[in-house]
Amino acid sequence: MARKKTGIEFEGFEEVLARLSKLNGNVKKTTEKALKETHKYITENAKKTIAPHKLTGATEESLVEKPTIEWNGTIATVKTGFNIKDGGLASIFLMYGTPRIKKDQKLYDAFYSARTQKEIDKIQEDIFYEEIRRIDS
Amino acid sequence: MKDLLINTLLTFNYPVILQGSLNKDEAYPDSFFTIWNNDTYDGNHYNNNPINYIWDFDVNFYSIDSNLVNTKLVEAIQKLKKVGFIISGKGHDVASDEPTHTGRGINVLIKEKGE
Repeated sequence: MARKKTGIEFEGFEEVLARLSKLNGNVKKTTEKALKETHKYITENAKKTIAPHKLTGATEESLVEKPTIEWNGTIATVKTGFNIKDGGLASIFLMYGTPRIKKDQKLYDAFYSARTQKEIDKIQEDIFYEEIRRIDS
Repeated sequence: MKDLLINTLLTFNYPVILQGSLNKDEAYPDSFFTIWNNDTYDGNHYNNNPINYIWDFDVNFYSIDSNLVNTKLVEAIQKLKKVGFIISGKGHDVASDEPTHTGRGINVLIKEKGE
């Protein structure tokens, strides 16, 4: 990595999006809110798992804490992870290991595990449904 | 599924070892693959029981030849896809303990039918 790009991917997203649009909901704002919460969830978990590796603190400090939403047409994504330029090089050793060093599975899982993906899907889905309920009530 | 992965990679005639398993004093082979099973989780369910499982692996290739690092991993992607592995993208750089070697890695998934 050490950067991961995440979009809105939960099951049934297309239908939820159509419903929100039909209600004249603010799709852009809701999408950005969902991605910011996604970033927060991943980054907080990564922070917890990187803490035991604190030698100089450089890797922890290179964790990108401010979410930047990128729009490419109608697709929005947010990047999470470590900034190599800001001292995050060690994150590559930790995330993937080396032939002599085992990877830090917990740190890897904070970004990539099926459990993390499930949690992200739920966070995003809840935000969209919350917005639909708010407009529809 | 692990056997299928190892056997497919062995057809390239390079050693296949577990990531992190090489001893401190053990020399790197000139070129080699490493693998690591990140997780094996439930796929789809029927009647609250998993009907299949997803195996999630890292596959890395290290070499003293930096060109080989790029080309061999791309060949591995093609071969692994042919036997049923799911791979997205063309990989990422991975760290080496030895300055003589560089490496690249991919994430590899495969579905296994449940009992």
